[in-house]
Amino acid sequence: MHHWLDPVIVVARSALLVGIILGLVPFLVWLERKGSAYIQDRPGPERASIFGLRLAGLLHLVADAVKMLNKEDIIPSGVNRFYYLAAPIIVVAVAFTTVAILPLFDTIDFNRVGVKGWPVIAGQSLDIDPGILWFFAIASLTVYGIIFAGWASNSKYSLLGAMRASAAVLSYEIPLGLSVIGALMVYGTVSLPEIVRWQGEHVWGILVQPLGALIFVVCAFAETNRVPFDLAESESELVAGYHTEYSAMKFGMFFLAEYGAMIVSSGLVITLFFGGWQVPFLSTQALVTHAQVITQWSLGVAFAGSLVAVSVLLVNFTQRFGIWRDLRDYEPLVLAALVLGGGLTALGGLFVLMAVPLPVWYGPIFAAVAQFGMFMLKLLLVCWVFVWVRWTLPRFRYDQVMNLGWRSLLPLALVNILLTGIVITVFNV
Amino acid sequence: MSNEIHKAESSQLRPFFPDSVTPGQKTVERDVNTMGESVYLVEIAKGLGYTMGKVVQNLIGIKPGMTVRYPEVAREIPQGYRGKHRLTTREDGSSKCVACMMCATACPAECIHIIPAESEDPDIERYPQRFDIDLLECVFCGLCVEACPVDAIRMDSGVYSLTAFDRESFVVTKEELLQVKPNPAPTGQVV
Repeated sequence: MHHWLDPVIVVARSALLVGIILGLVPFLVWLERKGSAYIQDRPGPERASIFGLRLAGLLHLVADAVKMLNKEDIIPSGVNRFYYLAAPIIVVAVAFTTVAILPLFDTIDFNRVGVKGWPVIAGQSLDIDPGILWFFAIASLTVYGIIFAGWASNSKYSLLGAMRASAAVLSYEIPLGLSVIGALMVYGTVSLPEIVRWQGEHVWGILVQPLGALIFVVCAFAETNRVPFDLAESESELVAGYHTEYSAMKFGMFFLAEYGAMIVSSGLVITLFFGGWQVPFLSTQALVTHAQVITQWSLGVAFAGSLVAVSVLLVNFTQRFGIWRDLRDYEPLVLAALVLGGGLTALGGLFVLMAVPLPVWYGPIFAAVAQFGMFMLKLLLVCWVFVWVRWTLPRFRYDQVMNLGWRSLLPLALVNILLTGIVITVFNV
Repeated sequence: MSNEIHKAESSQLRPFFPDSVTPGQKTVERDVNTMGESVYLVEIAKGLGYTMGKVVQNLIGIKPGMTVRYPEVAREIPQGYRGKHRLTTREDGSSKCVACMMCATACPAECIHIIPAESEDPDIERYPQRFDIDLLECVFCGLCVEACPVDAIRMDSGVYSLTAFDRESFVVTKEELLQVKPNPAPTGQVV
């Protein structure tokens, strides 16, 4: 079954995954800043501009990145250099390694359409049998990065933050693992692509495992050390927690790892409970078979959508024009032109497609692209939930975190396993 | 007072230490979570609903009410706002200051440095040869204005945006202070 193109495919898939993290993290930072601003009745970032284009503050990310790379990189005296430098590397490496198991689309198999001799492309860069177990094994290593950072920094705030973080991560690892067991009993496999396929054939996991999904989501919040479980870096008490003593890009790496962990957690939530890459109501076979029709419809919808977007932008421009008389005020016009261009291209593509039938191998590739798009859409929605919760809830106290983990979530996870087992045994499903 | 004691005793609430209620002690009800609250989920859903409402509201309206887009638009400053200092002048354009050192004495931040000199004019005994204010030291309390017996120094310029690239630029001299204009209307002024 090996194909000579396989090594190339492995490299390409890995590059895709790294690209996803590196591309999504700035976007998530933007989502976080803009979302928090709107929640708090502020306009949020909107100033940084290139040639008058601000893109609703997206360009602040470029400024952020440039700033982080150019800031003075301070290594405080008294740190343990080796562990101090190793810590950010560990957390980033863990974030990048765990994301490799997420299935992004169904296996591209050209045999479906009768094309022989082409490579079979799996939808995840690390196509291994342990699946979800790999995530649990690797994700636990984050604690080493956190403890190294806290201990090697030679600062009481870092140490306290690291202690809290590792305690929280270790405590919540147990209900996290147990909450999945119920789901795995239903799916009958630990392989993530198989889990997603099961959900495509039956129903989404959230419907068969609502309690497990809830516990998993709560524990995922705790694993990523985000509000309401961000006691590790509670800035009102601990300055910034375990990365207090880090500056410039070394801080940036912790930042990257935090958002990377968020992406992986969201990816796992959707893979386990929300159908992964499954496009609702459309199986892979249906996508492959009807690739041409669906493409045409999407192009038509894209054209209509671009017209709506252009009119909205023009209304926006007329409302805003003349208030500040700044180059940036012409942004809606430029955007409208770009969107209109894209819409017209879609329309042209639609006409071309109506005349020319697409080649046979287009089907599997289209299915993969559509499923990948669906995966990213779901991922962004779950990431938005992370952001949304962060800017709504206050922080738990340390004892509350421990109580919730050990006294509520752990028994609930066990009860969930018991109930699932009883249902499976009694109804023999 | 007796009324309060009575209330505490007759209350249905059990004090934390029933025997230790002393006269005049007020029993405060403990804020214990109800069943629904201690599950968190309902309350979390309520909070999430509120914040999502805010997001939708701001997405549609795009009019976050409080924000003033500062460099383009400045917030109106109130009357009596203490901004950058200025020295008032006589008709001939010279400073009204008689270098009596009252302001420098009153200044809690000791940011006013005056070097007096003897005046040629027999009616005016002294005048400030130098009159420097270190704006980085200044706390903008306005005591110098209160202390001045001849109304030579005022803080009614309305200038609040003081920026420079080095510390030396923040030490303003007499000549600069004489140039500062009063704020014509107490509205926002971009500097």
